[in-house]
Amino acid sequence: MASYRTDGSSLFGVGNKWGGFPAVSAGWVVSKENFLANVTAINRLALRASYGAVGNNGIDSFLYQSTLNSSNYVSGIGNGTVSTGLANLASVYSNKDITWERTFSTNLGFDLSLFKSRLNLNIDVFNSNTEKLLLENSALLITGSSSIITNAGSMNNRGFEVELSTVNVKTKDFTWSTDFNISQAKNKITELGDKTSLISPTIDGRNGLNNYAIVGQPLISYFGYKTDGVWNSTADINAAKLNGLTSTLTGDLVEGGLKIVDTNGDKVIDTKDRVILGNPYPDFTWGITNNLRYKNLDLNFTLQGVVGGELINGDVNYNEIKERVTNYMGNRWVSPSNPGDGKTPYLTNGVNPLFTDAAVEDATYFTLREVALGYSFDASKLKLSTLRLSLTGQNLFFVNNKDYRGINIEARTATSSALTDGYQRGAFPIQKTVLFGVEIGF
Amino acid sequence: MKTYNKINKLFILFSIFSLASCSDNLDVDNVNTPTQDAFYKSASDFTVGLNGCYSTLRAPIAYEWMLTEVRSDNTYLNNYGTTNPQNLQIISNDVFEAPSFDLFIEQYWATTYTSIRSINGLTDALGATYNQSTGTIDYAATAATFPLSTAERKRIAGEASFMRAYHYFNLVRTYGGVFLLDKIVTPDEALLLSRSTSADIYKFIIADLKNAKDNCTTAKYLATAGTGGAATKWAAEALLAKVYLTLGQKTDAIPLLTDVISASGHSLITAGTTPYADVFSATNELNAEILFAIRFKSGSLGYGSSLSNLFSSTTDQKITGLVYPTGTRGGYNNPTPELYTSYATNDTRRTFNIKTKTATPASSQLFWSGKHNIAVASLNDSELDCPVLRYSDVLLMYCEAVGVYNTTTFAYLTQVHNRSVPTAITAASVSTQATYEKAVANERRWEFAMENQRWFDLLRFTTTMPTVNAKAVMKSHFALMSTYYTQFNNPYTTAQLEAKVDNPKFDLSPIPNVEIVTNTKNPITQNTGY
Repeated sequence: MASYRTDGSSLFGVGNKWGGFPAVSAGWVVSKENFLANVTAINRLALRASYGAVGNNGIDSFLYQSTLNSSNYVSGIGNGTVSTGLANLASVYSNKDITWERTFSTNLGFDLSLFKSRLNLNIDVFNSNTEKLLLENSALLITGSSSIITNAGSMNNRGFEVELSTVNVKTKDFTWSTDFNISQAKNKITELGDKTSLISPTIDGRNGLNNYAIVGQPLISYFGYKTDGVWNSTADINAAKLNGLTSTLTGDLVEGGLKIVDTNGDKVIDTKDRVILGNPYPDFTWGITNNLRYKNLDLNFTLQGVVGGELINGDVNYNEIKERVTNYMGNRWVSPSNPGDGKTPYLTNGVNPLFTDAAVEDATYFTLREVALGYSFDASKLKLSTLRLSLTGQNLFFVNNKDYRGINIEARTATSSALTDGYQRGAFPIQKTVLFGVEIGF
Repeated sequence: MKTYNKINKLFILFSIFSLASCSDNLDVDNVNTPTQDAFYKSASDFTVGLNGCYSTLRAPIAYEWMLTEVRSDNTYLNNYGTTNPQNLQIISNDVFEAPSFDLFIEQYWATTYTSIRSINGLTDALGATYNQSTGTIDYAATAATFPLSTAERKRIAGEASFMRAYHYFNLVRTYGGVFLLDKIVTPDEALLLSRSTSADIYKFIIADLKNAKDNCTTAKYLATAGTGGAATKWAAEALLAKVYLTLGQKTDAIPLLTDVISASGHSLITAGTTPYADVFSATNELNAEILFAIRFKSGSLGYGSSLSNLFSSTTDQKITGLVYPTGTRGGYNNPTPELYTSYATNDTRRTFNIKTKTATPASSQLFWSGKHNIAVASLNDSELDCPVLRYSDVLLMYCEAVGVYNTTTFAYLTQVHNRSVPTAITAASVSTQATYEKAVANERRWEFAMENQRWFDLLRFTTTMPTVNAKAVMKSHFALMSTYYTQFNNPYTTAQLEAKVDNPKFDLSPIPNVEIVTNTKNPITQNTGY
């Protein structure tokens, strides 16, 4: 099947409103072929392929025009009266050239169903290229705005999804089935026009905390200073200084402060020493659901997890949190003779407000997302249509990797820009829930 | 058993359709707000645009006190020893250790340049352009359809020039040679720009102020009619005089100041029992003493000032004379004990400017700014205008420009002093060069406390009145204040504090870090020491 559509959007200016989106797809149900007709074990075997384009115009209105904002003043004697004024206060600089972002995806699919559908396997592989990425790029403040919206570059996404569902046991009194899924999605910026990197708007108002988009890297790279533990003593610092080490960073090179790595080896600790510290994208996400039933008793539980990827824990830089949570400060440096774990700096010393890898934590976790136990009574004797008792628990079991010091590894601070993902601060804790339910149907 | 030959059942179905509607439906102009490019058409548009520019003067005021008063010897944080990030920020600015990513340093820069953008949009539409080689604002020939008369066009351009010069004067004194923008620049264009020299920025400021002086209204101040708060020739002359003083060109400043004193109609308020307090009263705005003020308005319109909330005590400490505005209060910009004791005990300006909570020992005494302090009905909604140029400023600038004791300078100094202090200055006490310069410097400090003048005054005195040296003053300030800085854990020693004035960071605030990291194309030079 093939299609072609053109969409127009009022979010873009003259000449840039229309985008064309072709699509073509094909499928082959192999199991319907004669050569497989006698293979009774195979219920279904199919191959799927598709190629198509979709558009994205998810931006605010009128970003293609430099609009003026209401900005009234006071004129006249005494307290004066309000007189109408207009000024250009836009924090996002307009760009008349912006247009549709388009993603061209190739999908290949494989469906297999065996043994009277006791085993079902679906595999999908995708590879997509996005062009004219609509990204908010930081602008010099001297322009009057802090960012500009651009069709900044191109990106490649590739990955797979596997779903396997099996009916393990199926008798009159007992059934057990399992659904398993695992997926991976990798993205990479392939070009950014005439630039090699873009900088996100400042995250959470914390100056110096900006994600980067770098050609050849995933869409978001965390970018900051790499550290190698804590300066244990002034003697250590003096030894390093004798060796030629200097720093242009405020509050650097103090005992009990973070030891920033001179990554470019020029013996000067400065902004040039910042490197990629991670990204928010997991290696895999997975989930398993088991459904068991014995006579009227049923039990379902779901395990879920994420492997890999990093998050930025903003709480690491907030004294109010650190002062109260031993996870952050329990093993801190106190004095040269009491250095703690050698990694945790003294509360107010050092380069605390800078973005360093001390705030980057592995985001791997798994959880018993939901477990539900139920019993259905034979309701007909009670002249009811249903009578069921259930006990459901959510997040009863939650395992973070040992790097993580916060209270909700899944939380991300909501932001407006596509480049500012991966940051959390002051999140609400993960909630464990236990629900008891009685369901009566008449 | 199927005997048919294999027929491939691979079906490909084509169906092509396209959705194309009338393109005109999508050409939606924003009916709520006009665009910058297509805005200036009729005469009234220019008035609306000019009002918009004036309005953008407000935003930097919320940050300016940090970079001027806190940095100077006038104010500090009376909650020293705290680990609250905002408080640490104030302490770092107080001792010249603010990092380049300091929020106030960034936002003062950002809001000022946002205002400059609108001003440049207006001057561009007026066809008034800066000629860098001649150092003048030139007027391009306009089409016959241009909606303004020549006089109106030049008046509006003059007022825009005044505002732009005000901004650049603040920028150059805070950050040094900044980016000289005389028209709107796009983000791509901005990446190619480099910082100008301070000299080029001052040349631009002087061109703008001369344009303002020549074209703003020459009407004399009248309480009944007034100038409505618009920039006047008198405000332009006073600001230009301050620019000349800053550059050490005293003789260029004197005729400008003389003109304001003799011809502007402005005067000191001397009537009543509390003349100094009356200058800052919400019921006496745009009084004879105000040459130019940034105007705020209460009434939940979004045009109120945040200063009352920022400076009043966070909790009701039952302090005589201090009011507690509704909503969150910052408790910032606390006058230093050293400023308090520098006033004569009978100076009515001390009573008005500084509200104290007495305590024993004296080092635990607490101080709050009485200036900008007013009751508000809702958060950050103070009515009080923020004075930029006052008549007493003009009188004392004259004393500074002439630079020596004579009957005229003594008369002006006395005029300002005696209004607020019952004990008159004696000629004998200001007759030597050193005592004269100290008297003028002190009078300015007492008169303009918490009006964001002190820091720039100190830097300027080093040129205009060399016996008052900014570094020496700040060193003595730290010595006087040492008990306040050293009474907590992890303190600065007096020696460490005094050494701060020799740090290169003393001279200028840093260019905001976000600018440095954003421009990877044409790296921006940071100020020395950062």
